[in-house]
Amino acid sequence: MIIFSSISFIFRFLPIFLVIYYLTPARLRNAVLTAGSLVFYAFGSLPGTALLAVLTVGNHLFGTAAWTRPGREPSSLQRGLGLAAILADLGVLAACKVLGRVLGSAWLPVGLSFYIFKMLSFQLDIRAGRIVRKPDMLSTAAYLTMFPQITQGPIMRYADGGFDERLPRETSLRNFADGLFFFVLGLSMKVLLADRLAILWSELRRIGYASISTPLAWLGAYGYTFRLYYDFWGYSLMAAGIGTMLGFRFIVNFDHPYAAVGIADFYRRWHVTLGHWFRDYVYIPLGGSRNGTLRCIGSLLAVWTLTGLWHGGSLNFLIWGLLLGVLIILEKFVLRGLLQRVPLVGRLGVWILIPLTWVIFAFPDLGELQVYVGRLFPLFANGVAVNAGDMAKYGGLFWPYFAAAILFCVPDFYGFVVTRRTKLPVVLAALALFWLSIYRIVTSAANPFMYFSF
Amino acid sequence: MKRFVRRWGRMLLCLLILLSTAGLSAAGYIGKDTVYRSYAADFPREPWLVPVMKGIHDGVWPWRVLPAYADGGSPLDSLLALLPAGEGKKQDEAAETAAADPAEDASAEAETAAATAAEEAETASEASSREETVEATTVITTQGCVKTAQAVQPGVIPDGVCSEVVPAKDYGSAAPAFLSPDDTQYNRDTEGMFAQNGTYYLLQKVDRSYLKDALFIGDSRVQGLWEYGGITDVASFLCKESITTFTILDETLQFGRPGENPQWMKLEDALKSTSFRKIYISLGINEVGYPDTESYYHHYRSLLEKIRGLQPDAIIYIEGMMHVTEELSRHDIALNNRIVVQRNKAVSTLANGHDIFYIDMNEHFCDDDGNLLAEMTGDGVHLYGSYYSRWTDAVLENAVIRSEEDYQE
Repeated sequence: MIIFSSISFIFRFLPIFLVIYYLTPARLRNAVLTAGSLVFYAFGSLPGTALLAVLTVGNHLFGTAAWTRPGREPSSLQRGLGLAAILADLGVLAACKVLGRVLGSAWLPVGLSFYIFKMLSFQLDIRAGRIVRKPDMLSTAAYLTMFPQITQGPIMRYADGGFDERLPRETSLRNFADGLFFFVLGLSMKVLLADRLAILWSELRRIGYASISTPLAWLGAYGYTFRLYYDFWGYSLMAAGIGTMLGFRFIVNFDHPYAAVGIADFYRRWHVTLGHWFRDYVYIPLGGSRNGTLRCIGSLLAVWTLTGLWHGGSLNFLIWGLLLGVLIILEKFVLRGLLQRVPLVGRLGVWILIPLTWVIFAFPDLGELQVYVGRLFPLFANGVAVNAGDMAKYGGLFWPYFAAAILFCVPDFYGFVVTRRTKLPVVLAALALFWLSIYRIVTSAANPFMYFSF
Repeated sequence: MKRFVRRWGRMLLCLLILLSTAGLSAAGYIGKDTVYRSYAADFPREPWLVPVMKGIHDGVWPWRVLPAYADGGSPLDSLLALLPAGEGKKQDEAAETAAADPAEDASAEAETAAATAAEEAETASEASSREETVEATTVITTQGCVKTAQAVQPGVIPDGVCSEVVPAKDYGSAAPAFLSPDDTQYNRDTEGMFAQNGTYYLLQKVDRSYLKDALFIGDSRVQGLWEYGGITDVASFLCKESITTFTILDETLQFGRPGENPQWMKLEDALKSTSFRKIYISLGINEVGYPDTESYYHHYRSLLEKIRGLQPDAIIYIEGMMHVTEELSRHDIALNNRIVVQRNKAVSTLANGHDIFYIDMNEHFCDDDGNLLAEMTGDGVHLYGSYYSRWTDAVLENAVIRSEEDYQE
């Protein structure tokens, strides 16, 4: 149920919650949102919910103690309390990540990296005076626990509004309808594109990477690329959609990254809220781009090392992050002129290099990564029992998903659909996608008695 | 008014979703004891629309809950019936809908498995008298029964046999991990594995040319053997993923012959089109979730009878299901080696040692506890592409040669 694309969430939790939420007077809605979110999270894990509750209360107490009116300097005690909260949040994140490494990732509380980053931004925004009104307990709790964002973000800021009277939530039929549309769109991306393309990836795993042909290895790399994109974009759209239904502003987490003109541009459009987090709390404080080339390079490497580690503790994530950091530095300082003169180079770079970086991202096991790269570039390694016809088979099976995936990478197409979202043809298409998604969710559920298909 | 329409027009998607949810849930509720009975609607754990979706997956459309359409047909047919030109199409569609009703088939088949098997046996025996050698074997699952397996002593050569008797383990490993649980007893345990006429065949090693008139029938695992086993150029394949013993006769399968483009056809048509000298069957993993071994046995038997009727001269090899990994076996209530071994044991009794043989290759893929080795598989069920050659080797090491027509070196 803790997954948006599940029957119990869509037909049980969400409608019941929305009815209660809308029947509740506006001033009590933070309490309803907090309670609903804790119930939602508790379906995933009770100990995890306890940790979330403790962290929420702790962050509120320390945060409000460190808070000062805008323009007023905090006392050294306040600064100390703020710093203690930041260190405690970081400590919990690091401890859980280490325990997750030791005991297995299933042990990690769901969404920990996301909500700890929200907590850190809460403390750092208080420190920087960006939160102009002292938050009350329920506002903080609603912000930190809100169920649309608890599992996979977006990493919203408290100051984005919606939690106190200064920037109240705006519930309206229009927002509700828009939110529902984006939820359906995100659900379809996740279920009908990402989850289908995930099957291709598991097929490759089933065959064994050593035995896939080079064309299939490339198809797999692009399949993984699109799967990651539509999984995360779809989830972000669902989260933003639910947020909009609740009256929050729509949070853009993906802004057509595959229409980017370079790697740096790609990451300005990919997981935008995480990018902004690192920009505001790491890159700029470390010097950013205004303190000379060396400081800039250092800041970029720091950001990308941390980005890699944030995604996971294994070496491949570090390599992935550092490689991106190096590529972005090259773009910024070496290839800038070329990229400006011939934008096609940057665009091609995105479409060729980004899928390759996702391949690194995909393999925590470096041995497997090596085998896969060997199949992508077969100059150095031979396959074992490769079936030369595999590309024709899987290309034939999966081409419709690739076609749809590429189509939704075109910003104009997406814009065309979204701007016509109240027109009858788009509404009917959305309805069809919704039921097709539900059908897929039901029929691909793990029901060993009915749906074994080996 | 215009403003009102525009305002509520925004809510159209929401209203449509609400209405359709209500409609489908109502269909699920109304049909819970009739058309959706077999989906065991588990309210309140699942909403009522879940069985409706499962029904659609099996071709049972929601309007079947309405009395007017209970026997097939659709509202569309009713509309078409009003048009004189729609007559022909209507009839076609109605016939199709009536024919394709797997959900009911599944439950009905489970209930009348024995009856079906008996009927088919009758039909098949008319086609060929060889079925008579496959006598009725009952499978009894009882608590605490003593096993009555008669182990054949290695080294003892019965009368009329020139070569050494094949030890029982060659028809499936004799290690405890490969044998059925103690509470399971199959009458005529190993007895039926050997020829009725006193001829014993030794399983022996052959080269790949043995497979030039061989056909492999089965599910996705056989598909894997086809794609990665290195015998595409000699052997033929008839397979489809997710196939089971009770769907294999009805579904269209991929039929691949060396040097030809694969075609989709039914098992019956494929076996009528070409004659084979050896037929290997590997099935069962998709139906381990179905609760009973006995109905598996009967479906398997019907399949053998069907094949025998169409291919009277072929050696039929029943390939024991490959086991799954320990991790899967330990956590999965259905996909576990206890059930796999039980099922293998049951169908191994269908072998007669004369023209139907049981071969078990699990020794080539499993550890001492009978679990598929984790390094050989990505999902616990299918071999990595690079390990299918072992399957090929296992097949080539366990071949039967009855006469020169079967194999010439």
